[in-house]
Amino acid sequence: MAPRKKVTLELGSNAPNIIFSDANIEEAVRAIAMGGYTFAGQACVSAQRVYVQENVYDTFVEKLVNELRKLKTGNPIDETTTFGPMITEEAAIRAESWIKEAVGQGAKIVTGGNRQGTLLEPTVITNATADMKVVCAEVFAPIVTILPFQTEEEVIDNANDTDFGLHATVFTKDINRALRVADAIDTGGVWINEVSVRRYDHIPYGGVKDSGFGKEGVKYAIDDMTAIKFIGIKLQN
Amino acid sequence: MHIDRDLEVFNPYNQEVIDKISCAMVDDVEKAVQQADEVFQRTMKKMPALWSTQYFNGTGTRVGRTSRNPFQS
Repeated sequence: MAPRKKVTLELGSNAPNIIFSDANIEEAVRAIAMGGYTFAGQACVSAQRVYVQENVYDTFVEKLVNELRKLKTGNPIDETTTFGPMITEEAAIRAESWIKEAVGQGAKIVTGGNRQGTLLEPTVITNATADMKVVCAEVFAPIVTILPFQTEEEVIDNANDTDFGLHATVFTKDINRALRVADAIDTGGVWINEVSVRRYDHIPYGGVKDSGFGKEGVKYAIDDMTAIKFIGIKLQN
Repeated sequence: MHIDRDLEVFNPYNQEVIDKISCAMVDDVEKAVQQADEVFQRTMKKMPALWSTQYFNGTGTRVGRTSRNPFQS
């Protein structure tokens, strides 16, 4: 790293998106169907680990699979295309190998998993464990893993059980819980009732832990890169 | 190191070349940094905060619309 130079690093993540049973499930489904698969999942804040409370888990998985069927795969230059290829075939092969590895370790593919050249199908994985790469590493592909949870305490522990911390999401109608969880999640940013991939240029954006340091977001980037100089004047009596 | 060439941009869907972009080399980056520093020392560092704010706020809308000096607003 450059000595004595201000540096901002944004190093990716495996964004946790937490869906409590009191959330608007339809809205959460639409949000994840967008936020896990837009740019074929190749965004640092793409929804990767989706934690769904047990009593709405099956409903959520079913609805998400139905929602993903609406995606139109194709050439991104065609304006009607809503789901496109990965950046290179090498990247797609790597992502496919992570899916296969997870399946070998006991995970289940609910939909997707197949690859043709640079095109990897929108993939949903269940029956996953925290040590699988699709969960604990940055997948950077159209792969969402859905994990069940029972209690708030449990899901906070699971969401924080990662080396990364860029964006997280909480879906709930209970504002007290939303703020409690937002406070407990160790990331640079938390969305409430919006998917983790959402980002605007003017919000302070940047991660903690292995996700990097420093902030983007116009005002915050300028603050970050500004060298403050103190000039003091001692007045005569 | 300096080379005059363009990089081809591929559409990953079908590998068609859809555009070309300039390829900056070490020399170009060095030149850009030197130029930025020179402009900063000569202009931006001396500019009162109000002026620079007006400049930043107005630049986007002024670019391409007028050649009027943004510092004179």
